[in-house]
Amino acid sequence: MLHPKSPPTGQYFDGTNAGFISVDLTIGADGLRLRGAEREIFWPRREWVLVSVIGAARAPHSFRLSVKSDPDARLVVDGTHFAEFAAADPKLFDPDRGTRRMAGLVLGLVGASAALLAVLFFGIPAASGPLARATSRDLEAQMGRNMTSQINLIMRPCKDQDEALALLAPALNRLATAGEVGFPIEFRFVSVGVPNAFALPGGQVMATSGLLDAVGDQDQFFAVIAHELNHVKRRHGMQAFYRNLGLGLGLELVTGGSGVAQQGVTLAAQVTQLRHTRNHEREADRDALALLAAEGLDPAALARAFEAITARAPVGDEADEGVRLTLPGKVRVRIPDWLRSHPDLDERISAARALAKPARTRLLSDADWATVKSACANG
Amino acid sequence: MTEISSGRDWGLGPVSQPAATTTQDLKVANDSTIGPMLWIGFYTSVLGFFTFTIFRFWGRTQFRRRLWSETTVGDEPLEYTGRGMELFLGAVLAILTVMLPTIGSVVAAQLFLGAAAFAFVVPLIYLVVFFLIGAAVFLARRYHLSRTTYRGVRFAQTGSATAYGLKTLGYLLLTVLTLGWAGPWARIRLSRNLWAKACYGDEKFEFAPDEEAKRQPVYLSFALMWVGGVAVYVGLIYTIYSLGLNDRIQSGDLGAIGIVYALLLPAGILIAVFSVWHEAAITRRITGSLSVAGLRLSSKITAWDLVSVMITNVLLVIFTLGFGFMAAQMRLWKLFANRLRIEGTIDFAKIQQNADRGPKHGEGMADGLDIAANF
Ligand SMILES: [Zn+2]
Repeated sequence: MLHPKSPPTGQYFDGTNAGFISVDLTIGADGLRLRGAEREIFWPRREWVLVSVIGAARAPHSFRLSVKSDPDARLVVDGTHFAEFAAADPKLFDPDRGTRRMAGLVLGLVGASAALLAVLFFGIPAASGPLARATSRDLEAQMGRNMTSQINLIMRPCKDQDEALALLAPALNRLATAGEVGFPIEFRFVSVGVPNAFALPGGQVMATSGLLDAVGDQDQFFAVIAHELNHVKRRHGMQAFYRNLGLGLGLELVTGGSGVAQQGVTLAAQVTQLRHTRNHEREADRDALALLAAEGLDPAALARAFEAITARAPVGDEADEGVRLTLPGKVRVRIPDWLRSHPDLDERISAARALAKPARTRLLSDADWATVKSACANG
Repeated sequence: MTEISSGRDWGLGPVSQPAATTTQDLKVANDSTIGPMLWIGFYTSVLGFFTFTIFRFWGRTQFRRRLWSETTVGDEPLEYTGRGMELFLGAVLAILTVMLPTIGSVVAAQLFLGAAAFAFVVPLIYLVVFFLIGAAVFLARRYHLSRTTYRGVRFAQTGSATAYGLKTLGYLLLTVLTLGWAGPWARIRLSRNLWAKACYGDEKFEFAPDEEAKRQPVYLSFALMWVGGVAVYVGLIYTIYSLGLNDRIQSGDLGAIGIVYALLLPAGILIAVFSVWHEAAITRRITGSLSVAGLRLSSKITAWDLVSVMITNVLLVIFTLGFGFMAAQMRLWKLFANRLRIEGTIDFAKIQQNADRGPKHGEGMADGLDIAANF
């Protein structure tokens, strides 16, 4: 035997300082013996930690071991001895171990994120209704007033609308009382060309000057108002607030991500919003039609109002992209879904038309309606 | 295997000590290749899609483990000891303790303050956000350094996140007030702030420029960048107005928007070209100020190095549809590593382990504020 096989050696960093000593290694059945010039250390096999493998997984250039009882310690071993260590602990040195661990991790994460998604996209929306109903009406009214004051920074109230509002007040009260809305209604017109009306939390209702221009008669106008009053009654604004808050916070977890994954999640959030918006619109329509009928007004006026509004709003491809309106100061506002040309809308129109019944009453005299109609004449 | 430095005192005195325990001039090198990094970037994106993007914490960790282990200093690799779970828990914790209260108070202010009061609150929110960004940078660095070991010994960042956040905010305001001219000075001060409180083991880094670092044309290059940047900006605005693009955009002309985007690309490249000279100079200035345990650091990076890597990196990211982002970051890291010089004499056996194991959870806010780099 001219060349007896040399025993494995390694560099031992003991984790207390940055120097190292050269050690001779003896791999036994129960563990690894590190023999330095002056000291011997024993690492039981069960405590080995494979810190890293540098180079190819099956024929590494070198690898680093540590030990559970002394996690700062490092033993650097030349790759030529990989097979000897692998024989002593095949599991730890299995080149596929990392892949298997990652598969387990990914499965766990997929499960966890499915649960998280369920909470975000079903749990929170489901909780938003009860949460909204549990919110005190005073609090909701206060929130609504503040939201209105902020929105009015962008959407200016029409200048000389006081007279029109005074004439409208009894009619609005009558509808609100009959419809059991549950909030005192604070109504105003805002100077925005696109025909629209919306309800914020707590009884705040706004209609645009564009809506006033678009509607053919007062029946159409009050049909739209009846629809908004039922958003107030069912506290849809408050529900949307809770839903957005929950989704927004959930998405916060995703903001550090980038690319495709984040886009996908954001898209899912938008779809969820849209789904709930649709449900709210259907609810508000149904209640509005009942309210109009009960008050002796023609429910089909809602259908005519939708037609008048869509005739003025952009349609076709542009509408499907999500209609946007540019306000002074370059603020862009997305026009609500219910204004968009969509199969949904046809359904809503025919539902209203099916209930057509000539009106037995008028809420405003022709002269008063003419005054209301010109509420935004001065901008 | 030769012993270049002894370990702890083994109890037998100097007889058994090797003759030389010190090492001269450490060579820094990174030999990462694009392929594996593209693969990590690819599967991190794909798995992110199925895991609500949460896999990104593990992907980032695997990227760093590889990058660190392929970076050697004096033939010994760096080691990254961080874990994906630490990053994940850190992010969750930051959301609960910082982001939620911040967002919550913004929402509350929006709901319960009138419009006028809210207008007053908005600038305050900006101040808070910039403070948080500074604090987040500090916390991320603290985590990074505590999870980086070299020859079995940890790096560490000491100091306070609050103080660093406030300083970031202060320097930022100063930079804005001076139209950017305080910027390079502020950046060097902030770097000094971090580095002078950083350690390798028990050895503190020192931050003091040597003669060569002082000679770097930091402000000359900044002047070029500033003048060039202003010229590009003015040129861009002039082009947009002289072509009447502003009116066409107002009326929603998609073609005009397309032209503006087409103009932004060369403008961005021009600004980048004007800024690389400064970027290289300030990197040499900051790196050339560093020393630790008898070793002096310097960077030989040039503007041309940066331009070539940046341009190819942009192409790499575009042509891989974003999957190549990690590979691009690796290339930048590789450039910085390969241009780094470490000169002097060090006695490794004298460097003691750092007692601080660092924060339990990682980075946190940096992820939420979207400033978490992959390294
Ligand atoms: Zn509605």
